[in-house]
Amino acid sequence: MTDSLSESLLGAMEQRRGAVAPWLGALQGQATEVFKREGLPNRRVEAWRYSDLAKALRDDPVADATPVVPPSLQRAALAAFVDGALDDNASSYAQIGAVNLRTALGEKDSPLAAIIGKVYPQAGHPLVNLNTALLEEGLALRVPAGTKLDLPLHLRFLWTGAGSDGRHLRLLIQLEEGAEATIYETHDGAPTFSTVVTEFTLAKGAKLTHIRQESFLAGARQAAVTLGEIADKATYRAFYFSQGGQFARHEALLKLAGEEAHAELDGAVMVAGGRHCDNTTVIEHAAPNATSNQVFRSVLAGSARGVYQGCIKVGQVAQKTDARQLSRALLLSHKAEIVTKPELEIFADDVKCSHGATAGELDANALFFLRARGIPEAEARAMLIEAFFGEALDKIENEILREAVAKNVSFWLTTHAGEAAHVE
Amino acid sequence: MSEEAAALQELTEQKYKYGFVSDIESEFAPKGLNEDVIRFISTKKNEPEWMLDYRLSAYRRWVNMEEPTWAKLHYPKIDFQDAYYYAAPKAKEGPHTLEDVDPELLRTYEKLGIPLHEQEVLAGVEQRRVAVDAVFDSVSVVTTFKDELAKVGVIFCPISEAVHSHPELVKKYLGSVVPDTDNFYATLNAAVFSEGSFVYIPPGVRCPMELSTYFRINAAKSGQFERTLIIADAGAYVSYLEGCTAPQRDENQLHAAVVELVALDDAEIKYSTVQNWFPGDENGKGGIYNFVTKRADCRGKNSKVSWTQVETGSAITWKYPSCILRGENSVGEFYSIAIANNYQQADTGTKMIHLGKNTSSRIISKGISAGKAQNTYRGLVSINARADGARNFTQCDSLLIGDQCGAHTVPYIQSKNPKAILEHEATTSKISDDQLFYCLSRGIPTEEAVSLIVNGFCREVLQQLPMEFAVEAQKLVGLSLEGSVG
Amino acid sequence: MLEIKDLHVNVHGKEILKGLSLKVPPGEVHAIMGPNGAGKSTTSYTLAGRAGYEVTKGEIDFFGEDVTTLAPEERAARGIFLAFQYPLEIPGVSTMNFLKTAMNSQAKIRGEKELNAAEFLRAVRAAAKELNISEDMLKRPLNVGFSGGEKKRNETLQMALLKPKLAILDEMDSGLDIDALKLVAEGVNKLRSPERSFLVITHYQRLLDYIVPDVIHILAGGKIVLSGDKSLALQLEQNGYDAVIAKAA
Repeated sequence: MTDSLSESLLGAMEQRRGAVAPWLGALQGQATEVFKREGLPNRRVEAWRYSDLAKALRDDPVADATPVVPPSLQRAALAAFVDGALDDNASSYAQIGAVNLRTALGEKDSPLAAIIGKVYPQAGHPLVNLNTALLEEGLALRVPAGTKLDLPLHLRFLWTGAGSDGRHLRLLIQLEEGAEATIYETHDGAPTFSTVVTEFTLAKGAKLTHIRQESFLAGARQAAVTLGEIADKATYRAFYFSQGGQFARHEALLKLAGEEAHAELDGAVMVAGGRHCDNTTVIEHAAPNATSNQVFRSVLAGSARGVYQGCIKVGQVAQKTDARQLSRALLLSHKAEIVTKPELEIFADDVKCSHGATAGELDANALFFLRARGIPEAEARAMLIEAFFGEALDKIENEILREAVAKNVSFWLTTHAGEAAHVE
Repeated sequence: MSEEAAALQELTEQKYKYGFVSDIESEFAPKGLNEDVIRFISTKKNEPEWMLDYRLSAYRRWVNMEEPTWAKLHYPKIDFQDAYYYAAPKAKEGPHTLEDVDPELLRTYEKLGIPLHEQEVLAGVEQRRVAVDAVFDSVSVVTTFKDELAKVGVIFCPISEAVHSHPELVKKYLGSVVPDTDNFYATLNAAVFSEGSFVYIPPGVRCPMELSTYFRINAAKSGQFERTLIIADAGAYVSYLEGCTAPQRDENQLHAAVVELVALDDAEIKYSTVQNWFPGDENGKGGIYNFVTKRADCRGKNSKVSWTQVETGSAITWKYPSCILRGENSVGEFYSIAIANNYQQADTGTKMIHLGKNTSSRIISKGISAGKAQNTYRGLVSINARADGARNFTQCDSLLIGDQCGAHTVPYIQSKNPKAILEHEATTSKISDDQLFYCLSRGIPTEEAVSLIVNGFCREVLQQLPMEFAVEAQKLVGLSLEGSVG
Repeated sequence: MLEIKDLHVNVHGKEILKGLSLKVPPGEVHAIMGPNGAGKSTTSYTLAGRAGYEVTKGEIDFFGEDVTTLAPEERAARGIFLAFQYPLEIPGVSTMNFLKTAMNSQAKIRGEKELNAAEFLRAVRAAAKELNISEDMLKRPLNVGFSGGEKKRNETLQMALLKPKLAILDEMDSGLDIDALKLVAEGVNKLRSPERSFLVITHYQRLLDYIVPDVIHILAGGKIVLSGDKSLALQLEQNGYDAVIAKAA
């Protein structure tokens, strides 16, 4: 730990410790010690070899336009974060029983003490650890047994740049037995550096739909981790849309802890310019008969770099596992790059596990077919790119959310029409 | 244990067939590794000054290097000072004809089933001829058919001999594919390599017979550091086979080889390996530590290199035969069967580096894990921005036999080219009960059924082997599943 | 309307068409027949402007304009339509969306008014009904999960809506049973008009029982070796390609 960035982070950690409730001070103290040892994630660590956070933070920030405030959703409970601070006046999350984490963290005998930092193995995770050492804001949602939330919870993050440096947020979501909820998490603008760690637990038969939409500006630097434990017969269904940033990484670390637990992940990555976008997933099958399915689709233009690392771990007890994983990448430029590392780590014999990865350009046959019907090349290409994501979008059940995400896909194609129109 | 399982165990409990020790009086370098030992090796080989300099420079680099730890392999730290880096059967100077070879050595090769008598081979009508370079510990015992090969200009000799007879070729190509700076084990090899084969096929020549090198480790506490260099000049073709065995010993022995292949314009090299080093016993005691760097440079346009490997031996395997596809339209292939049983650990795969336009590669990997073994496929496919029209197809399948073993797949797939097409597929499964039942219901005993199914699983790779090897390899696939419980 | 002059075409560096010449006047149906490897598919792809079909010599004139170097969509807008032997499945693109985009794109290139949503819907429904294409098929992604007959009916539907001046039918009958073939042929025959020409490319005489041509050309070795009326098809049926081609030579 020699660089000034790490020094200043450490300074912030030390400073924080005296100012919080003792239980939180203890938790953050431990995390600070780990940070002293491990430092910021960098490419010498295998899991970060393609995404060097330490370097990205040392690089000069990319200048950005002013972010546009995203429209509010109709029929949703809103938690409005501006530069990482939860704006209670603009929010309506209380109607579904969510609570402001800042308030809860300040309590001497907070019930959060028992749940924060407990989901899935996170002790050795450098980013989660950094977040723990510095967290001060966030939201907690507990959905009681048997309750099905009608309204989706919209976690709306707006990052204006200037005020967003060093903001570290935690989201805690607990679904009790048979509960159901939908979360729509949107990120707009450009945090200079922020981390968001989500911890969720799904009890037996619970069902969580998580739609995560990163529409960052080019200068955004964010690393996010979603940690989840999924009990028997519970389902986690996720759709991750991302268009990258100066450094954008999202990790989903999931444990299928009970029989017949299921995780379904769809990723839609659209990256242009010189942006960097990393999707990393680790799905651990820790019980028999659990299933998981992941499909990540990427479109890379300009001199963008897309990273997809997906690991499926199957423990010895996890017989009858069915785990699938697929990465499909379309490259639109000779300067763009896709890196795929689909990993299988298997210790049980009666399993069906597979992964596939493809990279290439748009299907030439389909392109010719469309053009032979009179559709100009640029339009035909845009159509095929939109169709590429169509299957994943169709899986979003909530119509309002599906359209909101689809709009993002179309918007990207409009704003990057030049890059998508032909191969550079 | 079910009847099926018991039957399978009985079948497969055949011990390692080649675990015997030959009683040969040997000469050793002093134990351990230092500059004096390297000078000793160099002197023994009667090497020119430039060769000694090459070794010393590698050694000085090596002492400051660290062992790689990224592979999914677990083993106690190797004491590099607790081994002999040179061991050779005591014999008259340079035994180059069969009459000069110690009869005990000849008996050894007879037992291993390696043909060293040219006339015997010639007598067999249906059998194709195979030229053999027999390497015993640190020296080559004999190389057959040398004269006949020389008639068409093919050079096939021990590398220590090539250093003297063809220094210009050795100087030009040695270390040009795997530099002495490449990695810990390759650097070690550059410092201490003692034997291996040298092959040069002149322009336009199709090598008239299969070439092969047979490696045997015999002496206790010794390592083997072979170095193979094969050059196929423009329009040349060669098929080369490599085989290896070692005695059954309680301690682990180190084998750190480097193989360099160079294919110029329109040349083709087919390199096949049946790796059958002693794998350790059923309790994980002993066995070879196999750390090998194999790489081909497809330098010329339309050149082709095909690696085929059947990996059944060694306690530890760390090996990634690779192709640098530099020439336009060059082709790289990797066909692999890796079987790990008992306590064996294998971390093996390939690298296909696409640099030239319209280069293509194909990877077919079949991993089989049984007992308490861990088997990892690790591979890299990388497409450069200049490699328009590049193609890669990868298929990695893993088969698990029993619930105490592990099968892992770690591919790295990188593309910087929109005009390239990459397809990668991987699956993991067990022997299907349905398949097994189908065989049994047709009257095929369990052990044969398993062998049949596993061979079927490996078929695409076995097909790539030259015929004589394929039959042997098929048997080996069955035998290697020693003690596995179906 | 269509005049092909001494066309030479290379595919993957190999010459497939070696001096093909052909004239199709308005309103006529011409058939190109030929054995496997004669260059039939190359002819249809070259006319539609597929990349990789390199014209090394000669030209394609359409209504007096040289279209040899035009992009596929430009040719489509001028009224050249290729009914594919194997229509593509495009997951994620709904048939309706595809039809609308194609019709409007062509209108735009021609400088015509685009259809509004109601007009479009009316046009599609009417054409679909004629061809026995269900609403459900229109909603599904383009050709995905369609049977061979459904795909060819879908091609015919597109032809009906795009109103080309020249329709090239590439092996229209492949993959069809006799009932499906009749239905498709019926659809095609309804589209015959004095302003519209057809180029029917086929290996077998069977299709020509249902779509009766005015002229038949025999393509062999990359050029037309013989032209005649529909009786030529019967000669082929009886004597086979080898005999007829040998006689022509």
